[in-house]
Amino acid sequence: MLGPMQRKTKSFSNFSRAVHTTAHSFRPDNEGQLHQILTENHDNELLARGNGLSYSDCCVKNKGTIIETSRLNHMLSFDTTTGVAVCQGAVTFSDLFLLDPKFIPPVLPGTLHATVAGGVANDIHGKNNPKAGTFGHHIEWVDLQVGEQTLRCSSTENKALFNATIAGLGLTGIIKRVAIRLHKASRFVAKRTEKFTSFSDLLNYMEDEGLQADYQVAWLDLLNQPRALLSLAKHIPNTDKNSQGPKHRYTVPKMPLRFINHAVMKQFNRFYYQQAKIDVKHLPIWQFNNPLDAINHWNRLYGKQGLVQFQAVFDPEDANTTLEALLGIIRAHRAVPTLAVLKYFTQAGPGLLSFAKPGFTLAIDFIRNQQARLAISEMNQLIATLNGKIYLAKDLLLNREQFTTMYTKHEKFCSILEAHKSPMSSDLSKRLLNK
Amino acid sequence: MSKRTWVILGATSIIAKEFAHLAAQSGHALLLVGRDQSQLAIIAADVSLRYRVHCDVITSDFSTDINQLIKILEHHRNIDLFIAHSVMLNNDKLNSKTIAELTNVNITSTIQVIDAYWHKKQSEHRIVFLSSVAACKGRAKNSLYGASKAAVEMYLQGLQQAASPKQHITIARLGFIDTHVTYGETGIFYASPPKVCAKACWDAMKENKRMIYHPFFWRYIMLLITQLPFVVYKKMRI
Repeated sequence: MLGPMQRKTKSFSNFSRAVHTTAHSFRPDNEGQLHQILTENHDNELLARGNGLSYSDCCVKNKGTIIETSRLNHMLSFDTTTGVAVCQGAVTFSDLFLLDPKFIPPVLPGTLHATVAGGVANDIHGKNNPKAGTFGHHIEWVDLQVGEQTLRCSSTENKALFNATIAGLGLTGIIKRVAIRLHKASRFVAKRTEKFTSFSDLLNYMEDEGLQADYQVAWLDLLNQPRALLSLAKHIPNTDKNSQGPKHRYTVPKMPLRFINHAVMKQFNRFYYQQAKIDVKHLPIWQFNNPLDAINHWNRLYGKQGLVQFQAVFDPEDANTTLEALLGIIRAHRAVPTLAVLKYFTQAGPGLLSFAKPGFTLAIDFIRNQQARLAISEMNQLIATLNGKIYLAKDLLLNREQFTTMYTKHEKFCSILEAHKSPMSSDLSKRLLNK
Repeated sequence: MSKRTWVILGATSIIAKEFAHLAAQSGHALLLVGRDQSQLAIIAADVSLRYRVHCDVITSDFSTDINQLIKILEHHRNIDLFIAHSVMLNNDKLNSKTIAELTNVNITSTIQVIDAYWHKKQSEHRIVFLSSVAACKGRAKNSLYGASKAAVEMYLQGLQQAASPKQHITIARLGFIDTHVTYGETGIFYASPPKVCAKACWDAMKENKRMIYHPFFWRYIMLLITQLPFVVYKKMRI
């Protein structure tokens, strides 16, 4: 009785609203329909897209075929003894909080609206890398739809494909189901803030005392004299208030113009640093980790132009010099850094294209303009020469040469794609892998 | 209304699933009824993990014998009924087999279930029936489907007339909803998200409304269309 799956032509952007693409799209309601789509379509330009929250072009495929996975978002089981949750790919990190009050996702991305399949495909990291590593470290297995077949991939089955799928940017296949080992911990943290007026002091602190905290993240003021706020959080026993789970509280409407500019952000940063209180505060983990999630569509503040983000990881030894060099480039190009966040990694990700490796990771949002583009291109090149890496979930400007320098296992990754005749492709893969 | 069980007929449909989420969120137990056993199991697992409510599953095909389903319903206490199952076929796909299937699923078995439920001994009865704006006027494209919805609506109207203050029936006439049916179709000017549609049904049920349109503006579109002189309607390509 069922006919072929209906498709439609749709425009797709990324989270930073910096790319605009058109693609044919399918939206399966269940796994059976997903299989049907792959049986009926044999083109080599397929891409699964969850909630489209990446800053890069890894979630779009211009003139290709997008499979919107948003409705494959069911949680399937949870084992309270092992802490293993099995769910479909489009379940969000926010959903995982519903499973059991004693467990939380082991690694939390910058937005809890991201899907777990997206978390696997980008091998996301959190503010707890020294304690927990990356999300990929907590994946028991994935069910991967490769063409018409489904393959169970884990450290014992289809191991090579498993390591390629973690941080594989959705290029190995469609992540249908994921088994995640959740972390047994309370959902409340005690947060304290340290103020710094020197970046080198900050870096030293993060490498040393900072490691005692469960989570640490620094906010940097790049528009005034060097100033930073380091937030440190430790789990505390659950209190019953406000443990219902993350919620939206405000929504930003569509804006005809940009509300964020150099002058506004310069003043905002001053105010933000001044008002920050250093006393200890108890709050739910999602409020600590994802304060911007309370504001729906905050990216609209950047107007139609959108924003663009730079995120790199670089060696801890020369971190201060690298930081100074990056700031020099930003100033030279007169780019406007609106939000800058620094985290510290001690553990590398397990995927062939994992971003995380020991070092400092700096993420900077910019107003999207020519100055930002020039600055980011130059910073990308600097990071390439310094043995660092640019985060593929965030980047729009890396070139193939820089990519191959940074991601040394790319050849192995490509050979696995070929061996499995993966039909997946994205604008990012076209740009960096010629695939 | 506490401790009641919502029976969801056609539970694998996306609107029904969203309605089940709302019921579960309010602490109601669920009994999901549908054809696709594996998908029902997935939805049931998801609902019980999210909301920690009891969620049972019955596999049933409304085009064949539904006596077993009716027997099961008789054994459950204090149930409410959400009716979302239906066969949606355009007139150009009709033949004697599909006509029998459509009328069986959409009319005969639906009314058999409703009748059994309505006579069930319990203190309160509550039905939400998903109808369609197609039930308002015969349309060249899908008039049998529209007629099947109109038949159940007409039957329910009779029940509404005789209903006691503890018996409530909400008919939801749906316009375009963002489901696999409208996805990629031409001429869809606005398709309401299933979550919003389910919430509208839930709210209407809570307020004991007899009839709603969703999205609401379809009430005015259908008012206009039903009032059109037939000569004009005949010339329209809708």
